[in-house]
Amino acid sequence: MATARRLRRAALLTRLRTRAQRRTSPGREAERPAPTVDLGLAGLDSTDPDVIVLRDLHRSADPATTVWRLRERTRELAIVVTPATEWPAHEQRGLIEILPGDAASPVAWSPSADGVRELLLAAGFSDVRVVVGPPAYRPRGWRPVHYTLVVHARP
Amino acid sequence: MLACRPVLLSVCIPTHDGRRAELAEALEAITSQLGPEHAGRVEICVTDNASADGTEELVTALARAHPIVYHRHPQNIGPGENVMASATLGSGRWLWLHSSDDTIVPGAVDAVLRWVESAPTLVGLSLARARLERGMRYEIEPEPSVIAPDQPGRRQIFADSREALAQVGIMQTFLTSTIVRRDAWEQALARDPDLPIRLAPHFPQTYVIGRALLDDGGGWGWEPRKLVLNRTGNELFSELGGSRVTASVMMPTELERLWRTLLGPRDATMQQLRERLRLIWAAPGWLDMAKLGPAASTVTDLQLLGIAGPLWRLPQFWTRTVPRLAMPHLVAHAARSTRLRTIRMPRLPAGRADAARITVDVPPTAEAGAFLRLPCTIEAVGRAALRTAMPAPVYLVVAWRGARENGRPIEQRRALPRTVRPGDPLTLDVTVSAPWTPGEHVLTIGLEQENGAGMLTEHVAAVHVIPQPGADGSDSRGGAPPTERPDRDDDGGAGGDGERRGTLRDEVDRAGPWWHAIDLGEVVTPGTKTPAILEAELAGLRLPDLRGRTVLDIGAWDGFYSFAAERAGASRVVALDHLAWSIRVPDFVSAWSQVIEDLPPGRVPPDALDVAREADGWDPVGLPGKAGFDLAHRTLGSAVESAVLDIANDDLASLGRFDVVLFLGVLYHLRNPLGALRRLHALCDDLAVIETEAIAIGGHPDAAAAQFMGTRKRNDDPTNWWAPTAAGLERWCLAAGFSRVERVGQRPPEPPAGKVSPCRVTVHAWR
Repeated sequence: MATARRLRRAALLTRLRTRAQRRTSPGREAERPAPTVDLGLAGLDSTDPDVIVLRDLHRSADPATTVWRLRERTRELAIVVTPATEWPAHEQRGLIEILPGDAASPVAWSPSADGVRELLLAAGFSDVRVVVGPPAYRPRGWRPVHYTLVVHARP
Repeated sequence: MLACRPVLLSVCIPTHDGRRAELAEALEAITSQLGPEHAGRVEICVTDNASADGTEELVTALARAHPIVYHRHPQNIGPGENVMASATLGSGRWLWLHSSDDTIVPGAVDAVLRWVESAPTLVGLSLARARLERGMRYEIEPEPSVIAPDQPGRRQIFADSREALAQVGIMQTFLTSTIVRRDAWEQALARDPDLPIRLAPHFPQTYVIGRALLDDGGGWGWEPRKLVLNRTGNELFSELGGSRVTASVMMPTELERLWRTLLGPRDATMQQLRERLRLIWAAPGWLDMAKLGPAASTVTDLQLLGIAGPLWRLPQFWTRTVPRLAMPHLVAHAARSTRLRTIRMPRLPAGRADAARITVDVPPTAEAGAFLRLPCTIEAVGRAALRTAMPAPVYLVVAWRGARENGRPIEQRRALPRTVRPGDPLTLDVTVSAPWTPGEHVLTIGLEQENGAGMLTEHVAAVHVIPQPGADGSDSRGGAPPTERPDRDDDGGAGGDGERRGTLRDEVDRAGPWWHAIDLGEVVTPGTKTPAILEAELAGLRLPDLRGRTVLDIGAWDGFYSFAAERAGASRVVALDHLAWSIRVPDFVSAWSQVIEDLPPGRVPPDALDVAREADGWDPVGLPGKAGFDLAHRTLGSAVESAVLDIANDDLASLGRFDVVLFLGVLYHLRNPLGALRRLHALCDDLAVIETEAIAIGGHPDAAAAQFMGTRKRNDDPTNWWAPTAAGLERWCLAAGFSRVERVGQRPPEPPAGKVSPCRVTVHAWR
């Protein structure tokens, strides 16, 4: 009986403590999703360059809009340098890997070469060339290949 | 004092060094379910394998507030011994063997207590489980079906011990999913206390359970609800030889040995268990993965041969497994590389004309643009099967002969979801949309074999396509009339009823074209999505109980789901749309066609939304596309509120927050899907139901990716931008801030390597 009483008291205390914690917790409004990087490209207006190098496409919260803005700012040439992922046997699919990020690191994307090509073409670039593409086809397995992609795009 | 008191349920948790954080989660999941009513009925027993990571401090602190019994071994006695020790620690009449890195869902403790109280003579029961990734944030692919009993969705009791072993023997190897009666356990163990560890050092509990089941004869229960959340990627593989390959040989070897000791080598139940082991650990997919993986070598080939030890008595092993097992990894690589590099193979290895038969019911009449659901039955004729992968995969091809849209033939190809063997026909529901051009059309449904064989068989049907009511401004009564409710007595207008019905029918005609078929009481609107399709889609969403809850329906269009939520008892429903309400579909289609016609060669068309905004019919004030919603709203006497807002750009704060948000068929139309999901998260108080166009990537079933449809639009729909994979959609939801994501509805297809299958995916995302 004594044990039962002790357990009941312990359970009651736990419940009261939990309720108190809930009341004093900051609430759901305080929850924050993973941070993202917004590439405004607004600063490029003042410089008006002929060549723009974009290195942070993979960190952009909205890669499509970033590439649209890149097209608006580009006069001669845009160079996109980005970490990329290639899925063997799906090189022509326009795939983009999604990395959800967490509290420590922001959301990231890892596009395939065809994914970047599709983004740039849809944004209005007419000449898109892969300068540094995926490594030679790996004879073993079909796991995704990660590499650094360089693309030149002209309006 | 505690050990002397009879307790109903002992949750026995063996743990070891490095598991402190996981154990804390497990204990939190259990203790949060214990209230005063559980006092004296439930206890937690933790046996610690000499850990040095602060486990003792953690458990000791918790034991001050909860009924926890703790014992720390002075040295590591091994995982199997630790499991057996945990069962001796408590005093409960039932033992719940619980892994220290799994957790349980809320309500699981009460569910187990109800089981053991209602069936006290059972030897034990097994619980279904959900597999979560290592961070326990989202569910991953389910386990092979052979792990669970033949009818996994049905709660059942296996009265016959051998039947129980055959059905849930594999489940009995998993901690956390297993509950066993203590006296049966102890009697079984007393026969030879050392034998379990000697026979199966990693699964001694499975032997004891099997022995108890055979000796006691009290039967075994199966709980189909996923009460257990299993953390994948634990250390078991390193304990079992250091790699997945060695583990895949050691696990079946150990299990076969202990079951053989219990049942005898030639027992029929033993053969069933061996077959289950074969399907798990010698499955073709697994052998391919091992042999084609980047670490594959001759050593891998030799290690895999060890699987013959437990399985050689099975005839299926020799006929189905050995050919794949005997193939050296280099040959497998060469075959795979050739397959991926070669576009067309010069010779067809398995080409067979007239090797298949297809049966399908095609309606003789269809509305322009309407979806037709065609149940197809596919049979293999002769001895050869219709395969889904190498060397010659077969596809179902559905095409409207001669009809073209945007200059292209209307055709869709679908990979078969499984191999069709002779005598095992496959029934597949195919949904196609009718051509937009009225007239006589020919629909062909055929099976095509890749790599040169061409069409194996073809079903040809004539379909008369009639215009949609009011779609082109012509006399709507010349087209398909709105469907009238069959249960109404239409006597040609005897009095007010017929007149009212006629008036409503005219209003429905004028408000078209309809996307949703909505039952207005007297008349069912002629939606492109028929009532049958909508009912199936609604059921597939697995909506929670909406009574008394607030619901937001984003992309409501004609409002079928909004009205459904209202009918389900929601206290407040808001229907939100923007594009579909601001322009009629025919106006948009004609504006887009004009843009494509005027486009200079080599240029990419503009964003479809920009085209819509520039079109003549664009009217965000008059809302011509909202006529259908308004008519349904008025006729049904609905209290659904409407909001004309753009989820991608407008400020949505004025709407407030909602318990349930429906986000159906919208995501893939947005250029910034992650941004939209973040806005969705901000609007959602509890649950978001997200449904979208998606893809499955052949050869990469777990790829978390999305296809960007910049210039290559799916289904020629210019408003399509993204098609994520199921895993990709889950990651988007997590990145948007949702804490938990669960896939619902049908499992995505598994196309062969190198192929992509379009599909629809639905997830529940919790805030």
